[in-house]
Amino acid sequence: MVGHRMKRKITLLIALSMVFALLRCIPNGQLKNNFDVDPVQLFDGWQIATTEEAGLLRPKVMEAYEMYWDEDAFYNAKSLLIVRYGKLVFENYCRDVADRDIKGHIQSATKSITSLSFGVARDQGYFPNIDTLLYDIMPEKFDTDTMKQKISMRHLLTMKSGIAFDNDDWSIEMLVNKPADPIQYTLAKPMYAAPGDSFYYRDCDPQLVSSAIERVTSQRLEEIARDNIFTPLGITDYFWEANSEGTTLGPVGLFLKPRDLAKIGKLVAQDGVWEDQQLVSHDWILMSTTSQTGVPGPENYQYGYYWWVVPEVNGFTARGAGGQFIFILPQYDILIVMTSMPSTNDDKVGTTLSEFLPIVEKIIESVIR
Amino acid sequence: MYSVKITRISSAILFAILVAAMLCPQPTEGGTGLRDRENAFGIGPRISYVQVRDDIVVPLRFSGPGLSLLLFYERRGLVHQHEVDARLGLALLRDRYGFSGAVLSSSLSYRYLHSLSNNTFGGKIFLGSKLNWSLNDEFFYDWDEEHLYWLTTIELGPALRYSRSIKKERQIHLTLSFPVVAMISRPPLYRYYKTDELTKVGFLLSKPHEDLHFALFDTYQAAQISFAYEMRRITLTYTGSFKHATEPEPVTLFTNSIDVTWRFRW
Repeated sequence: MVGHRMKRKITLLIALSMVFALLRCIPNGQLKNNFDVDPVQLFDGWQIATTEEAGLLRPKVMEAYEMYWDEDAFYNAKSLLIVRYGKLVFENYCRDVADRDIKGHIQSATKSITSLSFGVARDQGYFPNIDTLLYDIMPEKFDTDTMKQKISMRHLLTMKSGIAFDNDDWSIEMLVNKPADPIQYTLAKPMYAAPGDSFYYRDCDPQLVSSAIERVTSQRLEEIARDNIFTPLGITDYFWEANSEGTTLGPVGLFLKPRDLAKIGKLVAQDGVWEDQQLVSHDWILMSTTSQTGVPGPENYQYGYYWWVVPEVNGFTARGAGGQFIFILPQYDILIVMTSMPSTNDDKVGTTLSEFLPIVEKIIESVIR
Repeated sequence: MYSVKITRISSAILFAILVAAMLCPQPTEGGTGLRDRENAFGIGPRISYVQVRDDIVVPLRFSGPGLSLLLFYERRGLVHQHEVDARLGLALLRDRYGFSGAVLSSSLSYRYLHSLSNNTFGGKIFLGSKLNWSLNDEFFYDWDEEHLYWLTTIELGPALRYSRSIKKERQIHLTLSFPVVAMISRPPLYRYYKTDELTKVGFLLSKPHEDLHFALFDTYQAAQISFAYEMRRITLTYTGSFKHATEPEPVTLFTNSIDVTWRFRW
């Protein structure tokens, strides 16, 4: 009898041991595993140089690289590129070298390309006065609220329209629920402040800019960017999402390869000139990348026309959720591009601008003086 | 076009096998320690420890507890056994950094077993097949709050069972099944749009059934083993379930579960 009970216990013990042994049987992987940091010469318009040729101390650059490479920081990082004097000097795809040829969502960094495209339209004479009222462009879309009728292009370009439409709601209501008339739907929202009174970062403002560009130029935002920026830069493989009406998304939705993102940065760093051609006027580049408004919050960031201005390092950047940056340091002629997984929770997994700044500062330290 | 054709042919084959199994003759034998004939309906909770790794998102193991509701119907005889069960459950997961995820899983399966021997190691051995549909909606909301990930499978394969009566109104069943053919659906590797319609139930059900494609052992491996201790009214079951699909990037699901189900027999 005792032997029978003992047998049972042993059987139970073995069964339980097997269960617990199997509990954690799926292995964890490494987030980052590609060590290559030297750019490869391809036929994509990029010239390659070494860090030394570009006047950067390699050990300092490698310190920046190690910060970004850390498994316990910048979890969602995918690539880091450094350009100096117009040449690609550092390039790493920490997860997979194949990411070099894969277009990724640049999230809100899209806004900066929207700004460049607006600049092109302006250069072409479509928006001679940036204080033009949106109401004058599309009066039939407005309700009777006279305060809304005072929203100007400048207000939209500086996130000061005053329309109360939070970004989370915007994503759900505009991209999931897809209203029949997205502009009218947006303009039917209440106001949180008078136009021009207060900065409030939101996606509805650049979307209205995209709609205004389409109405005034009879071309979609994407077409303007394609014909006047992407094609001259040799950017052919991209995707730019549109809303239910077919209007290009102004705040988000542009998918680019990291090297192509760097080309956008190079264009801006060169004051809108690409191979002796002025693609975007110097004055628009200057206006859009210098402070037009302060940004509430503990950091001392400023905002241009869809470019973030960072006085701390005397630079400016395009910036997208998750950790997408085209960071330009005009004083040093340095451009830093970082791309990351785009749809992460920025509070936990994502890379914020303040987290990215130490990498920028480390790269500044690498400049041979 | 070719893959659509394959898909349709495979679906037709699966359907035919299911119908054939349903039309099998009913048992007429009796006699061992096992019950001669029984119909039973059951319901109960399943407590699980779930592990998921989906390399489309990140190569990290997510693990955590899950709770499911289990319903089943059994029609058992000494020669033939038919079983249908349905399950709906949710597991809350975390990775090594503490970032969260969840798996909403549901399944519906039919198993047919046929007696192979009457007295092997003091019990009976059954061999048959199992047809199983399962949907695993994966949410890795810290890593990707805008998109749905999934592993949907419709699978068919052999099932093997050893049953034994250990005393009056007490039985044990050890069951193994593994698919040899399957239709599977996985999310695409790259998604060129901003956000999935995650707030719409219809999307959560329909999207994971798009692009179902035929898979064999080289691209999809799965197995399920269960050990059931059956009493008059209550059955305690341990189930270990493993699924691994290799395309477009590997995904692995491994679940250890304990079920407590109440049986209503007639």
